[in-house]
Amino acid sequence: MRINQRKNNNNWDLFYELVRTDFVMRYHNSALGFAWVLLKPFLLFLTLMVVFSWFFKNQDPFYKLNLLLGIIIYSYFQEAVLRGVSCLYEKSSIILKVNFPKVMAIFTSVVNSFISFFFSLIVFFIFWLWVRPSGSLLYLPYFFLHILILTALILGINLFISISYIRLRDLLSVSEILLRLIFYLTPIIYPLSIIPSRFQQILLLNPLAVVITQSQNVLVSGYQLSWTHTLYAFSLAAVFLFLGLYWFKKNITSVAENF
Amino acid sequence: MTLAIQLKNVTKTFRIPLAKQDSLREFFVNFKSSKSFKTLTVLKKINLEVKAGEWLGIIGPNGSGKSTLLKIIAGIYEPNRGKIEVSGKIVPFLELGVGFNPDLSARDNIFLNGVILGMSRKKIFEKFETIVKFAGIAPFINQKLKNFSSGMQVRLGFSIAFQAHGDIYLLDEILAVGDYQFQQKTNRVFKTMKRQGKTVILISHSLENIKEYCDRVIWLQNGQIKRSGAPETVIKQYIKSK
Repeated sequence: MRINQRKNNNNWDLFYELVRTDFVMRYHNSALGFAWVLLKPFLLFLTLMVVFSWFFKNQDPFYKLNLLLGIIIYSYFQEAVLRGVSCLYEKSSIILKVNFPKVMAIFTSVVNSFISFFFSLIVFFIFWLWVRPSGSLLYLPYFFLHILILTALILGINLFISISYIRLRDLLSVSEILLRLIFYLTPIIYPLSIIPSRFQQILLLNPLAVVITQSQNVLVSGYQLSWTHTLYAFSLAAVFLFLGLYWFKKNITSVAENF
Repeated sequence: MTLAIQLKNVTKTFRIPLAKQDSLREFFVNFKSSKSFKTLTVLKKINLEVKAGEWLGIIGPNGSGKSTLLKIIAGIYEPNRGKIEVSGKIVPFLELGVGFNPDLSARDNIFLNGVILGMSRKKIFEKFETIVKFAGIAPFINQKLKNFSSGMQVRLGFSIAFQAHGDIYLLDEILAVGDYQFQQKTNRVFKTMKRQGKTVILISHSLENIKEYCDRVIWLQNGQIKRSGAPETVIKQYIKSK
């Protein structure tokens, strides 16, 4: 048991410096620097577009734009989770010497991925203005609601996975494989409509699939939002976040002993 | 008399894995054998009270639990049993320059290390000149830290930590850092700290330093306090025991 009346109250400043360091370190010694943030999803987009738009352009008139949005959202998820796996482990030298609010490391891992996501989105909206699809920007708040749900989901996963990775170093390889699997199980390169409708519901058990298809529905295709699916993804994200916080709290006090 | 730190029956055990299982295969292979670790009791029922303004020295052979005790007070380890009460802000000097990033400039590292030690950015801005001047690195402030000599890095780390004003300082073997001139400066700093009534716990193998600064000394042996008292007496007994 530990009692201390005085706690540091500089959490925002700590958060700012950790995010800044992460950001600077990522692009140092890199010729293109921050441009990679935009280049990575777009090179993937170009490759997939060239290959798959031949197959699917009849099913979906806005296939390219939907593909782009799907890749951008998936990339956010993938990057944030992969950084989340090792974000505590990377701070081991600090954790062993100073008692600081370690949950900040988890937030940092998500924020920097969110920054990349945000810049990719700007490019998406430039394309959007060019293509002028049936979806409407009036639905932007719905879109951001889904991004919020996704972020809560990522936080929950990262709270769980970052602290487990210290004991079980396989989690990085496991996450990489699972992320690849999730990519194919999510309607990104194929439109959801090519799937028989009874299997569609099974695919939509995946909260990432819900976030991506709902975003595509409101912003690109101009379909109606399915609140049942939103509510489902929201509840699932809330459960993940809650369990993640519980697991993190339970294990964080002994983390310094397990490095 | 106010107490800065109070430890009651603090016990700390570590689980030392016999073969560290941090991969899935080892985890399943070792699953059958129920005991894949041994427990090591590093601190046994430590009772300790440190008064506000007191300078306490900790001596003892390697592996006697000195650093673990300091880390428990700093809040890095959680004790298995017992109670710790701390009143005041702790500044840990367990290592100088915690979180230093070799690829960042000295300027960025001052901010990074400062916030890790609990300072606000505003406070670091205010103290920035003082830190740079004390470390004597003004001409190199925008250079990457990896181009600094190790002595310069330690000097910078010390200068930042010293500005992270706290009430309780935990020093682990960092009395004599830097070159002769820097040591003169740090000596003056320690004298000021003493005048200001800061509470300090220091671990050192330099018994001279302990004698010079401490009001009281505890001698740790196998995770227990073997002796506690005036520096001269305890140090004399400690030397005789060897």
